[in-house]
Amino acid sequence: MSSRMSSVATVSGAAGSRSLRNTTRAIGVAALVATVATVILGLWVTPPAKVQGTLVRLLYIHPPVAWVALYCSFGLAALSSFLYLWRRTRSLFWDRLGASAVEVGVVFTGLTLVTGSLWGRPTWGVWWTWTARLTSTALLFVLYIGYMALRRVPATQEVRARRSAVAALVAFVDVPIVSFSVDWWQTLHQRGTVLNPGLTLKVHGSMAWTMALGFVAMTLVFAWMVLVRYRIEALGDVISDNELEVSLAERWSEAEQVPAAGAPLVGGERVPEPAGSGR
Amino acid sequence: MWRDALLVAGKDIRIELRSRVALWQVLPFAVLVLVLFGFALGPGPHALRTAAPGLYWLAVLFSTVLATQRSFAIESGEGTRDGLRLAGIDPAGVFLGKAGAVALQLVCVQVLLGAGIVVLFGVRFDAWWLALVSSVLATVGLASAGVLYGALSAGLRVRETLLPLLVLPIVAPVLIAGSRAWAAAVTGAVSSGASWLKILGPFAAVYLAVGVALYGPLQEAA
Amino acid sequence: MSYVDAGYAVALGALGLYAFSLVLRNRRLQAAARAWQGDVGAGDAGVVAPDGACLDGDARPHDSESAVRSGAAALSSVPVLQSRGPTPARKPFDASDAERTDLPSAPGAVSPGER
Repeated sequence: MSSRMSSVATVSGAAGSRSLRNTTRAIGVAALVATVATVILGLWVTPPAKVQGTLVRLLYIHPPVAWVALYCSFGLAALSSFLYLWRRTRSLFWDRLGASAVEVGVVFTGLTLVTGSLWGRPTWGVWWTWTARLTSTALLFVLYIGYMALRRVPATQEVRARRSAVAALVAFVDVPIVSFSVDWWQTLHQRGTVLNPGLTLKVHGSMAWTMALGFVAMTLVFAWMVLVRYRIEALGDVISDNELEVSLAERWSEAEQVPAAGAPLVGGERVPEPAGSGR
Repeated sequence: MWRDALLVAGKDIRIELRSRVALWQVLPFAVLVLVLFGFALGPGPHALRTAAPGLYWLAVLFSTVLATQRSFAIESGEGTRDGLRLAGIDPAGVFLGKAGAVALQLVCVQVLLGAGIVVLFGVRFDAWWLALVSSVLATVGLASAGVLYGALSAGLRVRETLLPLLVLPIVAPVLIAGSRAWAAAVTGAVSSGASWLKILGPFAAVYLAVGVALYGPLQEAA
Repeated sequence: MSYVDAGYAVALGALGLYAFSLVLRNRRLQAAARAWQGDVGAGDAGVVAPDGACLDGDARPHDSESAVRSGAAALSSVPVLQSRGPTPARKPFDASDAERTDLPSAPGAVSPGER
């Protein structure tokens, strides 16, 4: 039957072509290797810095994680959202990609906050200061958690996609405004170098290489995570489509089997309601 | 009554576990409120640390309003509330069950908020136990008062704006006493702080009793 | 434990945990998907033209609606659907319920209405 065929195709299509799955696996392996290498280099091979001492080792993780969170994931999410909303490129592919990017981005943003805090505690003596960068990151974190909450509200895929895309774009547009105002708010309370850490220290030699490797590693991790998360999203959507199909078919069969006592409301004709609206 | 309470509480909690609204909306809201307070009073750490106990309780109160609204929103479907009444469940049990479920959510919120003010506002506790005891009492009071007023406004279309307006003045004593108790817990002035428990305790007891007594008649009237 | 060690532990631990959860969800969904189609080889995307859900998909946003419509319209597919391997068990239509003349409510009855 045509519906069965489309379901079959849909499922195996969503599972992904073989080459894509192999690519994902390859990226995953590369990510793992790069991460392990970064850790080994970062924790043991590189020497401690002059001023910062052993704390500089966190710089092999914290900036890469932050870069991935802020630029890679939310940038990708914004781009995907725009491409979804733009009629010429509208496709649920972009919606699913955006959602995946945001979820991975939230994980990385949380990590940015925690690693930043762990770096800040021995440096400034407190777990948290309301510096511009930290504060903006915290707000970004909450913003995108809101996106994820919005996505979990039941709706048809198209409605959900449109809502999410708008939410992501609005959040993204807000980011520079937030950064600017938080910066300004912070500069009114200049307290000198203690509260303005800034990552201005120079890294040379093996430290520079390790930091670069860290960036590469985290980007690979990001790519792998987004790919896997995308597949989860696609599969989930397809399965719920199929479940809907089955339920609808069963309901119609129930309606069909209403006995002649009183004409069946369907009236003998199969008039499929636009079921998508009812979802 | 207790068995019915457990039934209703179980139902509410199971709905929450499946829909995860508290997890994805109420908890992030609480954290967001803290961040916003940071914007309002920061970035200098001193103002925040001083105001932290009050800000904590404000955030808890707002979260109570949200949790209570959600508690009644899940029954706003067609005939759900009537079904609950017709099922022969003791209304006092319904009250206790719903209050219990809300209280559980409030506990989760408070744990998160407590960690939040320690990390974000740089608060250090001297007398943990005082903060804990006051929280427990306050939670019971907040959940009871919230569910009671939630039932009052449940059927109304304007309930989203009405419920905060009704509930927040009622729970103002909790805000006052809770803030003072927590401030004492931070500074270590335990004896003066403990005296505020004399407000939190009776508040909880009174609203629990009132809820148990009045929930039935309320449901009939609503 | 130094702050550095804690930082690495937290970062790697969190990423690892999340990665693990992703893999688990993926596996579980693929198993569910396989249950829907019998034992068509997972990953052989050659059967029919890929639709919007495919990773290499193209722009067909109304796909879910058309699939549903075709599913509802082709009622003769019902026995096929019901014979489809280990789908989640659904009670067959009970003839004694024939009294009910109301049409089923919107598929909100299927998925939890107010979540």
